[in-house]
Amino acid sequence: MVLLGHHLEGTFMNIWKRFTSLRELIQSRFSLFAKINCLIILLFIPIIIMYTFSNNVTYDVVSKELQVSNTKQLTFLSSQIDSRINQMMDFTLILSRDPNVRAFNGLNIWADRYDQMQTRYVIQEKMVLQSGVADIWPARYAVHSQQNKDVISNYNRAFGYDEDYLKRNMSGKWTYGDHSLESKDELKSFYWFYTDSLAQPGMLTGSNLVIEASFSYENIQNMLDTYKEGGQGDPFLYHKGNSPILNRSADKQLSEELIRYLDKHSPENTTQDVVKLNGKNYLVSSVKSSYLDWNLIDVVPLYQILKPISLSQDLFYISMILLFVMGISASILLYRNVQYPIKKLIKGLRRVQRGDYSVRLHNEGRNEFSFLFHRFNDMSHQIQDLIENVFNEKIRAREATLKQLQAQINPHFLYNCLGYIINMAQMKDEDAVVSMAYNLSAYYRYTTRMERETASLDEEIKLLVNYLDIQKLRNARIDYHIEIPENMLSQSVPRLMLQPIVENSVIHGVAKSYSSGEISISGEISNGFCKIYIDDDGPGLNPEQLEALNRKMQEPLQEEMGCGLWNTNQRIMHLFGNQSCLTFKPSPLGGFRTEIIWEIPTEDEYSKFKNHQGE
Amino acid sequence: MQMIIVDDEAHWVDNLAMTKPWHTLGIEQVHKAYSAREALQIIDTNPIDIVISDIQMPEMTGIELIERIRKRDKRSNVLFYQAIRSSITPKSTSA
Repeated sequence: MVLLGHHLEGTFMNIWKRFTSLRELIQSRFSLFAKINCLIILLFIPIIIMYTFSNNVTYDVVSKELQVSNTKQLTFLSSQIDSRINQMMDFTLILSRDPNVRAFNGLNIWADRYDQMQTRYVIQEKMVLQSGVADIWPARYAVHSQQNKDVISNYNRAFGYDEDYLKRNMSGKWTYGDHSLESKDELKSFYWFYTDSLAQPGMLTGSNLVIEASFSYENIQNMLDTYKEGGQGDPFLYHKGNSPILNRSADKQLSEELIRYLDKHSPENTTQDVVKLNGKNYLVSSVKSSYLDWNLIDVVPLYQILKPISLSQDLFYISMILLFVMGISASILLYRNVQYPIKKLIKGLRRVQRGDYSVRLHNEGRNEFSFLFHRFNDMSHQIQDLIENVFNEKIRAREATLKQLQAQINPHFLYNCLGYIINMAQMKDEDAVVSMAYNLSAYYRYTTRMERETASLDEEIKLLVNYLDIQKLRNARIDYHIEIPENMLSQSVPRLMLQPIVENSVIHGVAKSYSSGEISISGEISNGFCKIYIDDDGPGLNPEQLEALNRKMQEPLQEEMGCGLWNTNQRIMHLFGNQSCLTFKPSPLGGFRTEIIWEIPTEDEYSKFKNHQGE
Repeated sequence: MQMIIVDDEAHWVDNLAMTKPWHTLGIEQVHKAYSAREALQIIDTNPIDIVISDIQMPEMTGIELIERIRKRDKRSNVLFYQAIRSSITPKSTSA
């Protein structure tokens, strides 16, 4: 039996070693969740950095290209306007050298009225011809003769020759408006007055030929409209202090906003700025006209042009966020499905390590872990079984030892009894000899029958009567009382449960003193528990000794300890459960009391109990 | 000569005192005591030459009894009873 116990212990150790290595394997994967999250973040960082960088490069290239092309276009428009103005100036010069024009400002002494008319007609024809070449840019000319106080024009003039009007406008530069009394906000024409006077420019000698060239703001508008058709901008002509010349389909609100901005930051010759208007970015380019001292302004809605880029950028970031969320979700899913069961398993293994083999794991899902959990449950069940078996084997080994001890002790008891028989026979006391021999034979018949582990309480009590009668014969001081209720007598108890306790009371109790000799055995049933009290009136134990004895009952058996009472206690606990035990108390008789309490088994427990006996 | 037999189990004392032919050995009177204390009382009042005693007795053992007797009278001979028991009963196998 002991050998079998060792073998089982060896098997258990092997299983435990396997468990320990499994536990280490799991612990190395403990921070799986954190690691995966780190990996996801590490993956995302370079992607976001690379994309942001490339996006910025694209953005810069596109906006730079946009700026360059816009400036080019605007410069081209400006040069177009300038060339038209230049054409007008060239024509003015040609006109001033024209013989007919000179004749018009001549003294006209010899010319008759017809000639004069002819001259007028020719001049007018030339001016109309020049003006009509380009219908996008209708130019207006007027020839003023100071000499003859006369004027010829290719358009309908409101008034005829006016000396003051000429003097007012003789600046030699292009001016906006003709300095007549007009309201300031009204859109006007551009004027240029030319005289071939040899004197200082702008000074009229009195007989000068003055050629007036002018074009309406509408000409500029025509140009702006044409320009606008080819691009995305909203061009206009700006001069500080004057109302701007807008293209005909201009966004009024935006232009007003921009002009307010320009009034504050007056533009240089050629500038380009990104201006925030109404909360949006606009590219504002400005080119100064070389003749007019006005600025050609173009405003391009940058946000609109760059919209696809920023849209794709936004899309990218949104998809990145979605990917990130998905990554984290996957990691959480992994946590739920892998990390969580692993943690559960670790917890179970920890409990097994602490010695709690009743732990069982449950898993709702049907995955690899349910298999693992099943194996775990099987293993802990197996371990539990093995341990219980080993424990039972130990108890059985103890019982065998006890029986051996009883067999050893009994000869001493036997030859004392035989001595009594011899003495009584020599003294011719027949009754005493018969009584002793009868009790002794009954005692030995019961104690040597070992085939069953349990007996009824009635049988046990009968043995006690035999035993106590023998003791009473040997020692006349001994007297005993047994009071057990009828209904208790049928209870099943471990064989020889009471005899060692009573023997203990006789040897250590009443036999220790001449004044004692009373032994009382009583029983009761209450609340599903059976109780038996064995009292004596011997010297008893002091409270410390009692406490030490009670404590020893709960501790594992030590080799040097007497095992009779401990073994009886273990057998009762094993048969009736943990609530059943032996306790030692002071007796009301003045000596030592042993109290046996056991739980009455229920019906199905009772049948199990019977099966146990059959083993 | 007078003798006393001491044992807490009465039947040993009674049988030894009753059935053995002590007078052939020159012992005129055999006293019986069922405890060491009783034996001391008898020794005090009688001139006892031989004491036959059990060793294992409650309250006072045979060894303690000898010590008490030796304090009073150095002459008396004490015979231990265990030796007699062995001669009466078959030799035991126990230690």
